[in-house]
Amino acid sequence: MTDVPVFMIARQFAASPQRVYQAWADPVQMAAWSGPQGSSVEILSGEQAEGQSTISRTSSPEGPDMYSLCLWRELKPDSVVWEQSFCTPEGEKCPPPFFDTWPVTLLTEVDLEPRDGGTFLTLKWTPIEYDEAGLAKFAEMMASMTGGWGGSFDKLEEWLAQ
Amino acid sequence: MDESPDLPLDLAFAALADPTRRAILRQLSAGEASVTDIAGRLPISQPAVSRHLRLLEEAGLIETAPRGQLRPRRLRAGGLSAARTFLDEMARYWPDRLDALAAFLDETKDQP
Repeated sequence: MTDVPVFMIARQFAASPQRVYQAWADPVQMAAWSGPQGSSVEILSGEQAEGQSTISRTSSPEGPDMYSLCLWRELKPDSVVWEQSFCTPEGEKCPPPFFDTWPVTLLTEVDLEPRDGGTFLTLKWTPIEYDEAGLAKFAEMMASMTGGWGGSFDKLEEWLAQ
Repeated sequence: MDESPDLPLDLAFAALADPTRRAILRQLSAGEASVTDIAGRLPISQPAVSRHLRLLEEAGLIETAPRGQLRPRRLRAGGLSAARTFLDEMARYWPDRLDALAAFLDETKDQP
């Protein structure tokens, strides 16, 4: 069995766990912060509720629209869990725009716990539906995590040295 | 100071700083495409696409295939790959979103 790479991130927030939970559970609030900068997120169909699926569209002023299919496994004050795939506007799972090697479905698990008067959040991102090539790209993405653009800097330097 | 030794690096980063140009790189990672093909996938005009293509070409990230009336553009071998750009975007996804969540919670903290 292949070891599946798991992306993890933790963050302390000053806000209470109830407010942090609402920012994930309330689709209106979630849309306000969950899209890349300058973009807008809109749920096209479905309901953001346990056991339900949604199809949403992320639109940027420039660049193509992206569609996501989410299956909401758990929406509890201390745990939000969902499966997410890139999809067509009709909700058929598909590769991300212009990039064909990526896990088909990623599981996101968010845990919220009260800490120091605020909220300690941990987030796990795990491929659950994938082929070997997609899994390798996910692992490569994690390797480039050291500084985000660090991977690009290396590549640029390599290229400039040619 | 009009000639900087870091010019290629500056050009490449300026080219990559724009989401439309990153979208164009991702599209070209799937194969070469004409200006018309590229404009057809983006909500901007063909002249705007041409300007983005010129910047990408000046930065050495893409090139024009030396044939055909349509002058298709393609990724330049040795240039920064579009795959790399996509992976960097994915790597920044949750750190950036959690920053945005923190800002959202801060902005709305006085609301009932």
